[in-house]
Amino acid sequence: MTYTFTQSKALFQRAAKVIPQGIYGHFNPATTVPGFYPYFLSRAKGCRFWDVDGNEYIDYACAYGPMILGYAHDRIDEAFARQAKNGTATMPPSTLLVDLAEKMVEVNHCADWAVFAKNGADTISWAVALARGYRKRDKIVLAHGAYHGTQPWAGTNHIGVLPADRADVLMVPWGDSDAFRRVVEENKNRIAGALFTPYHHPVFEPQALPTPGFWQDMRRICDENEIVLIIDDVRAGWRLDIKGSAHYFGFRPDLACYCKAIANGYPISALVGTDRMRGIAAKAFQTGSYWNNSPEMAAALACIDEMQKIDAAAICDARGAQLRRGLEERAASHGLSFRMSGPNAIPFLHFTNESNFKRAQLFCRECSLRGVYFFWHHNMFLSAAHTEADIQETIDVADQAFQIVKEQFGE
Amino acid sequence: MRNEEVLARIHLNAVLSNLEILTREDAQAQSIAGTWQGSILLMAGLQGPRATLEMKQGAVRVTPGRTGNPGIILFFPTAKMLNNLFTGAGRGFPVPVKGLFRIKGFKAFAGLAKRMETVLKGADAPRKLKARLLLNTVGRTVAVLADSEPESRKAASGLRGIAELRIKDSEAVHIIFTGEGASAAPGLAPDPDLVMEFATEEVFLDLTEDKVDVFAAICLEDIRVQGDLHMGDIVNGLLDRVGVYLQ
Repeated sequence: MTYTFTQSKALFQRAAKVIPQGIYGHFNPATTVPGFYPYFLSRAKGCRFWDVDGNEYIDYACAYGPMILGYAHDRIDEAFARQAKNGTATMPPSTLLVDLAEKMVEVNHCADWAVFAKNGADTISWAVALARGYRKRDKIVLAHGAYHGTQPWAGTNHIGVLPADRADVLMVPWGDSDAFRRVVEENKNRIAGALFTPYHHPVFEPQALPTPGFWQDMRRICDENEIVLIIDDVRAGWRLDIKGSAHYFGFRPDLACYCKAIANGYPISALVGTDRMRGIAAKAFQTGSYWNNSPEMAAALACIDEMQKIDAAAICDARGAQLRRGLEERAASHGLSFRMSGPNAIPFLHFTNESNFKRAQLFCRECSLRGVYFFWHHNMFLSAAHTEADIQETIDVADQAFQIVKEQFGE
Repeated sequence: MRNEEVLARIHLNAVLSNLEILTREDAQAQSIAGTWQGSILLMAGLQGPRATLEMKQGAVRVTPGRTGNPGIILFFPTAKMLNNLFTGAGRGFPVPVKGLFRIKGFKAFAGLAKRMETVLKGADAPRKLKARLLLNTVGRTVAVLADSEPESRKAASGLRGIAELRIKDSEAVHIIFTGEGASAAPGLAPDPDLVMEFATEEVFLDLTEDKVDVFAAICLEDIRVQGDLHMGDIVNGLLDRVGVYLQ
């Protein structure tokens, strides 16, 4: 079957007339291989989707993380639909608010309490405000290349950002506790919080896992200097460990932010914290029009329960390991230097003998033309809906793509 | 905010080099350049940037710094005065340190400058040629900024590799980032790390006039970006700075 994208392009032309960027933000397909990737979807089920041209894909984007149990998952969708019939944005809120907070406290390793919002950025901004309020200090430490949303202080956007927005943000390399200690020494008693992802998942470069002892060092430095340790687990949360990625890496933060996979695609995020942060959380006024919507909470409760029941993190890890092993072996058989970095469940693919991504782009392009949706610029995601057969089919497609890379680049 | 010395470098390295393309592609410019043979050194201050413009058999060659033994030396006491000559604002008269009586040389230089202005700004300017000159200007300006403007230097620090800007089947310029600075050269690079290709001259002209939704244009393949998009992100930021210096 030859994949074509006529409908995708026609729709994009319509979109570009009325929507800046056509499709905005991280969903904009400029970072795929334009012309060789679908732009609009027709339907999705399990780990597959079908685009508007009728092309079928095994998906490793998972909507950048929210899909963890499979698209159009019957149990989650039914929970959402059932609750929607009882009202969506209501005042007073549904009892599901309490049920979900209790569930978070039961499940998450660092949660003595929980609050909910819509997007990851909501909870991250909330956490930063709590850290500043708790310590009555200004500075926040972030890592170079880390993504924490598009808020002006987060450093991702360059439009409309004022120097004042970033004036109290200090940057360190991710994974370097010595650099963190130096910044802390240089800013004694001025740092309110340290906000990091549990492992480093930047764009345009391989991922980095923490070295042994790193998080224990970071925890110690924060404690010695009364700095609130915040974990942005928006991207990795639920895929590595149902108890949170901090539990996976063996430490306990003061605050942790969740979103993405919490409700298998329904819009809800969570901020959880330890007891010592409860007092300041009780004083802060943070809210949003839809933050207490109950159908999303029903979906989250069903999703968390299902993830526990099937041990979704273990499935994602196993499928990711199969994918990693298969791709690296096939690449090696073609004489190509190919690696998957990061956790099995959230891998980033790259060719180790290039830094300009040309091989990776060609590889992804050829996979897309054969029904496998990969990213070259960003980490990918495994889901519990990926079967061993899906992974094997992917590896067979990748084999053909590796052959083309070999023919074009030689090594 | 503009730095006058950086702008002088842009005028000498990026704008002046357009005369090479102009005399290659435009019969009028060729004819003007054919009226004199020799070289002119332009200097902005005693320690500031300089460039040598050589005219020979209707062609022009521009090289940074002083080369050979120029027949005419035009000294501008400050970078701002050199910039005034290029922008037409304020006092822009140089001190002719050498070659005061080489009237033909002065006339040819003035004629070429006027012809370039007509192509770049005239109402009936040939669009394709205009696009090619602007591509050259933009590419070389990116290199000057990454090499000498503090803010841009910081943005490009550590960046290594080659970025190529090109109009499909037409003009190309490439920028070489060394990690500590940058330089530009005309034409295609043998193995660029980043390629930004504009489908037509019109797409590129629209881009310079801020009429293009870049992300949409990439998705619609009016602009093709291939290779190191991290480098592309930095180059994109530098392209935004070009507008601060050149309107």
